[in-house]
Parts: sequence; structure tokens; C-alpha cells
Amino acid sequence: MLNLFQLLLARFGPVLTFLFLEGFSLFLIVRTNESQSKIFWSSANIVTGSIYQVVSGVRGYSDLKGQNRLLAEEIAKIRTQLAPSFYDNSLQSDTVSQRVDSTRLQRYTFVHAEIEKNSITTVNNMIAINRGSLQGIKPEMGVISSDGVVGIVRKVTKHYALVMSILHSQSKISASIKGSNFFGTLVWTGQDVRYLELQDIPKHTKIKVGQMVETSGFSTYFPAGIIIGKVEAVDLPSGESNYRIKVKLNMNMSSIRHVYVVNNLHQEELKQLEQDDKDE
Amino acid sequence: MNSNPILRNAIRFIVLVLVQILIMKQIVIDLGPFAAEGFVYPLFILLLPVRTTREMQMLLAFSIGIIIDAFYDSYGLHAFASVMIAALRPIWLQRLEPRGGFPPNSSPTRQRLKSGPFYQYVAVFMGIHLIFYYLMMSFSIFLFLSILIKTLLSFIISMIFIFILMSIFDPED
Repeated sequence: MLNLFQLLLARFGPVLTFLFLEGFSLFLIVRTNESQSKIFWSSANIVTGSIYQVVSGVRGYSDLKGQNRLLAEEIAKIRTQLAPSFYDNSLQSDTVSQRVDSTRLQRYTFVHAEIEKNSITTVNNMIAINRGSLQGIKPEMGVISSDGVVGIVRKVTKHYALVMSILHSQSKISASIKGSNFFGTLVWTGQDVRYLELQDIPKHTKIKVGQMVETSGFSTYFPAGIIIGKVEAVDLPSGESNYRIKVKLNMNMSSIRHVYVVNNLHQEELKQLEQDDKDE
Repeated sequence: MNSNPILRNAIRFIVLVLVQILIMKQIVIDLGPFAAEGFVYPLFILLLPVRTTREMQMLLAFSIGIIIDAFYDSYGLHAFASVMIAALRPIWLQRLEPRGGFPPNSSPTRQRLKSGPFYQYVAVFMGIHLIFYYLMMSFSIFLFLSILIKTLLSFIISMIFIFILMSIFDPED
């Protein structure tokens, strides 16, 4: 065995020495000299890059992106025509008009937008979307995605809007447990981006883990019945009359791309009404 | 100078490093986009005794290269090129071997090889050394023309100074 080892060393010693010394030199070159290290890693990236290309080719074809956008815009149109988007005008139609269309007045319209910038890492997360005042976006509009509620528009420029994410310490969303009439406030506790907390649900209601949580429709931001998530855990702190309900979000806030801005056509009217009431 | 081959080569090592960093480092030929400098220290590797083991040749080449690197702030570049010529040198020397082989501890000097074959040998390995040096420096084969021009400039300067040094010292071994 030792003889074999010596034989191998005699045979390959020079080659091994050569490889070792040149490898060490190369290591020094790449480690110490900035330009070489950049080139080295960028060449390495050509290798990894081609792997990524294959992966991304599998995950989403590049021309599928355009198709996705078309589809999303289609959905925005269809949502506009869905039942919860209409204001029930049936009473009026009974007395005034027999036209079928007038039994339903448009109440919500939806504008499709793509997320330009998203954050989930801070306590006050904001989202930038690529629609602004030119597309009719105004502050106080709600923003939803196909899987739930995203946030509320705060600031608007010509082409962009800044959305206060539901993962924002100031975010308060009116929500209710599906199938019950009680509603509460959905807030983020600032810790886990997968969970929100539903507060103000009185303790005499019966709540089961797994029940759906949806928008209540009592705010002017969102239509009623948008599924937000599921009840994950119910907690009743001693001495309090309201539950603290842990809600698991239906969607992954870090991976949303397409959102819909909710335009409540009656928002102004409702606000005016409240204002008038206060003024009196 | 005919004493111990180890002492002889150690002195050569020190002298060449000193010449390289005290004299050669000051001489930079600047032709606008192409600045080049000369190197004489590879002469140490080229003049190592022929019968030195290949591993030892490479180790010594690496050590002189890394010392030059330290003075030139170019960690690894000279070491890389030096190990390269130390590894390739025996192949060329096999061709030059006289009948009966080189005497023990003898170096491939001008006196031993005669001027023509000696300068041919030095020129070939200085060329290889410089090409690898500039290749590793730019770390890309896409700058081939500029590497070639730099190598050529550097080669001319190096060969002039090697010629001067060999004329002054002209060792037998």
C-alpha cells in the first residue's frame, strides 16, 4: 500500500504540485484583485445564469407575461360586472322603470394594476403600483388581488400610486366571519407576514377554527364578501369581551404581482352623507 | 561562485529580486494606452539546476513569484506565471540535453548551452511567462490584441535587461 502510494506520488507528484500551486495562485488572484474577481464571478454567472434560464423557462415563459396581463385586465372587466359590484337598485326600478338593467346600478369598478415595488420586511409596509391619477386612481381607494385584500391607496401621482399594505401598523380593515353578521377590525401585529389579527368580535359569537374571514362591506373601500383568509386560532384574553382571532392570509403578500384597484362610485356620496350628519 | 549550488541559487534569488524591485520597477515604458514593464526575475527559474526535482522547481518558482507579487501588489499573478514556466521548462531542456546528460548541479547557462540556444530558450520562456502574466491580469481572452502588444513591449524590455545581466555576470552554473 505504501509502495503504491509512493509510486503514485512519483508519477503524479509534479502534476499535483503544479495543480496545487496554480490553483492557489488563481485563488489569490481572484480573491485579491477586484477586476479579476468580477470577471471570474460573472463567468461563473454565465453557468448559473443558463441554469436559471432553464428554471425560469419552466416556471413561466417570457411571452406568458403579456398573456397574464391580458387575462388580468379581462378579469378586472368581469369583476366590474359581478353581482357584488352592483348597487341594488331594485326598489327604484319597481316603481320607476321596468328596464332590467336599471335594477343594478354600477357601484364598484376595478382597475388592473401591477405591483412595481413591494415590501414585507418593515413594520409599515407600502406597495407601489403602476396606475395613477391618469387612470383615475384616487387616495382612499381599496386594492385587492385575486386572493384577498392588499391595502388602501394613500398617495397618487400621475402614473403611480402608493398603497398602504395590510401589513402596515396603521392598516385597519373591516372584516367579518363568513356566515355571521358580526364584524370586526383586521389589523397586523407587525410580526408574521402570514397572519393578521381580527379584533372586536364579541365573545358571545361562536367561532370555529377554519372559518372564512371576508370583507364586511361596511367600509367604503371594499365590496363585501372578498375572502381574506381563514381563522387559524381563537384567543379570548381574560377580562376582555372581545376575541382576538388569528387569521391566516389566503395569499402570500410577498409574491403578489397583479392587483385590482377598487373604485367605489358611491364613496363620495357616502362620505357626503356622513359629513352632513356631523354638520347638523 | 563555484561553491555550493544551493548557496549559488540563493544568492541569485536575492540579487534578481533586488534588481527587479529596485531597478526594473522604476522603468515603465509608457506608450499612451500601452504601458509595459520589464521582468528579469524569471531568469532565476530558468537558471535553476537542470536536475532539480520538478516539484522543487515549481515551489521555488512560486516563492519568487509570490515575493514579486508582494512588491507589485498583484497577488498571484507572478506566482501563476512563474509556476507555469517552471512546469514547462523541463520539456524544452530535454531537447537541449547533451549526449550523456547534463552534469550534476549544472544550470542551463549561456556558457553551457552556447549563446544561440540559450537566448532562444530564455526568449521562449520569457514569452510564455509574460503571456500568462498579462492573460491572468486581464483575465479574459477577448482583449487578445492588447495582451499581445503589452506582452511584446514587456518582452523587448525584459530581454534587453536579461541580456545586460547575462553580460555582466555570465555564470558558468
